[in-house]
Amino acid sequence: MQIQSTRKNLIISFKEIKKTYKLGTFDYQALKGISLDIFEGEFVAIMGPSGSGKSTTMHIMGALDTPTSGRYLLKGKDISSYDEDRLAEIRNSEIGFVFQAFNLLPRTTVYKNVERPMMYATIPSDERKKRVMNALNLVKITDKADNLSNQISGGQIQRVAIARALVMNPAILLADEPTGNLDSITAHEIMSFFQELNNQGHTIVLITHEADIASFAKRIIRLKDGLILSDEVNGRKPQRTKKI
Amino acid sequence: MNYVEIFQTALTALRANLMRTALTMLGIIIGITSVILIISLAQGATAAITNQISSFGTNLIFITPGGGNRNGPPIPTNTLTYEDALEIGELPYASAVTPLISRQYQIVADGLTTNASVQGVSEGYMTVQSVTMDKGDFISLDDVNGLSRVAVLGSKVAGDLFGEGFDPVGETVIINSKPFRVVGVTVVKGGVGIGGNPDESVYIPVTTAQTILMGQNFVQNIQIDAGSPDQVEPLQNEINQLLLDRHKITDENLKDFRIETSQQFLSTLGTITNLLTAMLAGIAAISLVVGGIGIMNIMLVTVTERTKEIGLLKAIGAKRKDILVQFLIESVVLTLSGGAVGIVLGISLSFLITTFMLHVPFVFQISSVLLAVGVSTLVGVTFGVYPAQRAARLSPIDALRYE
Repeated sequence: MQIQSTRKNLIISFKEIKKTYKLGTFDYQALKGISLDIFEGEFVAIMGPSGSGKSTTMHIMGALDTPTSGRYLLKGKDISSYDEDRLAEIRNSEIGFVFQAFNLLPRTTVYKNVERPMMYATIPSDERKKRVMNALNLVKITDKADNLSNQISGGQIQRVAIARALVMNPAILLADEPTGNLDSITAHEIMSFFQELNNQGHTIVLITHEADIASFAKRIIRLKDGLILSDEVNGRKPQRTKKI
Repeated sequence: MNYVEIFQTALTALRANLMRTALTMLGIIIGITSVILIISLAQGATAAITNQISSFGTNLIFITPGGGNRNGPPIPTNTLTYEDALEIGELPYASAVTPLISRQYQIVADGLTTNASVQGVSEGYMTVQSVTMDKGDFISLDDVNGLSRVAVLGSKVAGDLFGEGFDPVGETVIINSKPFRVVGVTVVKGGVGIGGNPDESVYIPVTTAQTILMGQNFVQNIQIDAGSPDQVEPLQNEINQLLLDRHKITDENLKDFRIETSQQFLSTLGTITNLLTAMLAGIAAISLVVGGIGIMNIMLVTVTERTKEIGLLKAIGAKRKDILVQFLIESVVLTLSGGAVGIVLGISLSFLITTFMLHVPFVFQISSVLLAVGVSTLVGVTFGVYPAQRAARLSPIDALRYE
């Protein structure tokens, strides 16, 4: 069952994606045939318990891995059989990652962290500077630009990670348990921020196992045992957390 | 990423773990220091020896008895005569010629005795060996022609027999029971000359030495000064022809004399010292290899330690090449900074040792610095490639998942 959207461009299209891992002598089928479409401007949460295949989905969607079979169209291009270096280019230009932990390079300033993806894309330094400051401004953390990554709080780290994810102007923001290491107040702040970004038009895919966090999304896809269990519009509003 | 940026990244990473960086560099520092030290000391020693030999003059030609072919059959060694020397003296380029015959004798004067190398020479010896007189005169042509019983004393012999500061000119010394009148004393020269320390020598006319002291018609060698370096070779050829004629030899391979020049001698010496230097430097280079293995070890640890970081870099778009270059530059920076410290240490140590301990010239050559820089870069690349490849080949998911 898929949500049909006619208003926007198709960004991600999974067609019968399967992924099998070889674990010693036997094969483990992590994804057993997943098809889904994600359109520009969507805010999708992919949910499921561990072992459901949500991490594998994230890896393939994020161009960190390729499917064993099936096709993955990203903005219309089939990237299912790209080699490692071409996948690196895709990750660099089309995917903005926000991870649960270890988002920032150690011993490196906030500024340098946000700048790094543009260095791999060989964007000239004056252009880089402009974009870093814009991104830091967007996540409201400009004053920490010269701080080292271990000198800022967990919530700030996630904001910097978001700034870095946005700096290459990617097709999707891919957030893998972005609030897993945060207290609930900060977690809600970060999720509200994702909502804000989505309202500005950014396409966001969120991987989580927490219903509370998933409720910030507009659409929720539930996985179980490597298959899609449900794919529906989110009717539930996230519970308000009191601001202190 | 451009190289300046990668370089800065590498510096940041190395600074983050200063203690480890310093210990890793130590291997390279020791290696480079010892290579530079050994090369510099060897060059200093070579320069000292070369200076000494050059002080005899670089225009010298030595004729010694014996086969021209070193691998040939043994040929009687009494083949050179005073007359050979006289004939050579007639050649146009020969600016000075002396035969030499020497033997160790006990010298007595006023009840004091000393041992000295008595050298029968002609008046040309003074020019050939650049002898400078302290007192009196050197042996003259008349002395040689007249078989005079005169002697010139080396400075140490004069001091031993007559005491420092005494002028022995006109005194008599007894050599092998035969009295000789002292006509001169040479200045202190020091070091080793051909045929012994010149300060411990006594010079007498070659004719007197042959007839009165040693009773033989042959000489041990003939020394010729060619006047200028470019005359050495033509003169050498003329002497060769002259001696072949005089000794009635038609086959070059059956020559009964050997002609060598001081230039040949210097170049032979150079070959030997270069070989020794290369050998010692090779031994020192082993420590460089050990240092390189240390670097590889640490880089492997670093790659493992930073697996998650590598995963993150790959996630945000680093290609294999980017990771490879980053880690490679890190190990090259490591070896290059070690090399820099080694160069400074090596040069300072060799300056101190040559100047204050060995008293030989301090030779500094930019080539040994370039060699050190080249070698440390090479070590960095060689031993950095494997860890860097390991880093570059990590799969992004495995790296991100690594705990």
